[in-house]
Amino acid sequence: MAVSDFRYLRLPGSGRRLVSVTRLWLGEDHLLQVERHSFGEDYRRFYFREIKLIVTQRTNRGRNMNIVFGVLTALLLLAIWASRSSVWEAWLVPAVCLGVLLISNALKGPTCVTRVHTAAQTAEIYSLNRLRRAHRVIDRLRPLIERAQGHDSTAPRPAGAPVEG
Amino acid sequence: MAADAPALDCIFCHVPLLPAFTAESLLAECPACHAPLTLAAFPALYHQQVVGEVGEPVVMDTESSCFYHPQKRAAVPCDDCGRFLCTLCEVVISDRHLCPACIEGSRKKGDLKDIESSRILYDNIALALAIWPMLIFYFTVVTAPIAVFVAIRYWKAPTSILKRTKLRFIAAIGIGVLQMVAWGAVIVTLASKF
Repeated sequence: MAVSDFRYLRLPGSGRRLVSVTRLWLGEDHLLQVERHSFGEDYRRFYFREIKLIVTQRTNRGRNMNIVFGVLTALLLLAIWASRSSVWEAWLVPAVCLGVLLISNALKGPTCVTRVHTAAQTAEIYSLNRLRRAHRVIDRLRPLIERAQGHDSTAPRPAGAPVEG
Repeated sequence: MAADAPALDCIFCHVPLLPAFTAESLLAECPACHAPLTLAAFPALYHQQVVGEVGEPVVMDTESSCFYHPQKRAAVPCDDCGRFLCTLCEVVISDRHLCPACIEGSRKKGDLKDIESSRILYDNIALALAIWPMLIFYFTVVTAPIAVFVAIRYWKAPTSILKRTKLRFIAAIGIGVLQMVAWGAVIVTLASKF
């Protein structure tokens, strides 16, 4: 395929960092990680034929965020209950905002760190920071990567239940 | 043992994980802190790393030699400039056989998307120059012409390698021109008063 005809398909998820947003795009024969700053983009490519491992490790960030949002929401609800007769409406807006954040974070599921390993590099995929989403994307990529590498049926399969995700 | 495995350690305890990968089994947890892992392993994990060729020496006088290494046998011509290349000099990018000089030239011109690692988004710069100074409107007397200049100057410059329209450039030019018209009206009004 000619370079000019090249198309990328956006994969779900985005990783927000301090001054940039990172997204993952699916190309014909590679993954493209695009980190967009205000005035530029940085690219990192992972060719299917070179990917050896995709490792996902669950982190506690999502649980910690739930605890923080939950405690703050509870405190604000307590403040509303305590100041029923006075200006309780003032506490309502932040309570609702934090409640929405709590529910949103809980619905997104547990957080994780996803890393891709090739012969040349080990890199974190910032957009795959939720476990369910990471597994969905990896399941989608698996046949593409195996096809690019020539599926080797004699290669040992991972042992243990959680290995296949 | 996995061949040519990259560095890989546990994100919690930083203990290297890869030595524990064997042909028979893959770890499902960190051996030190027992943090669970989810692994997707692919055939490349078990393949030997391909070693690059250094080029064969020219044996007969009738053989073509590499442009950069006259003592080595030519393997392919460069798809861009046509120079003969040995296997050491040949680089395959997007199914094209290129020499290092053509790769460097194409990289500077932005022709080889597959090896670019960053790009400047001039349309974002132009739009930011048109919009943000409006918070303190007096700045726009300087920034509006700059925004229009940047938009016109870099109209054809390579932008994101992802699909992207010229909408930001158009918006920057439109907003910049409006600001200049507004400043023109202010100056004409002031001039007519004095």
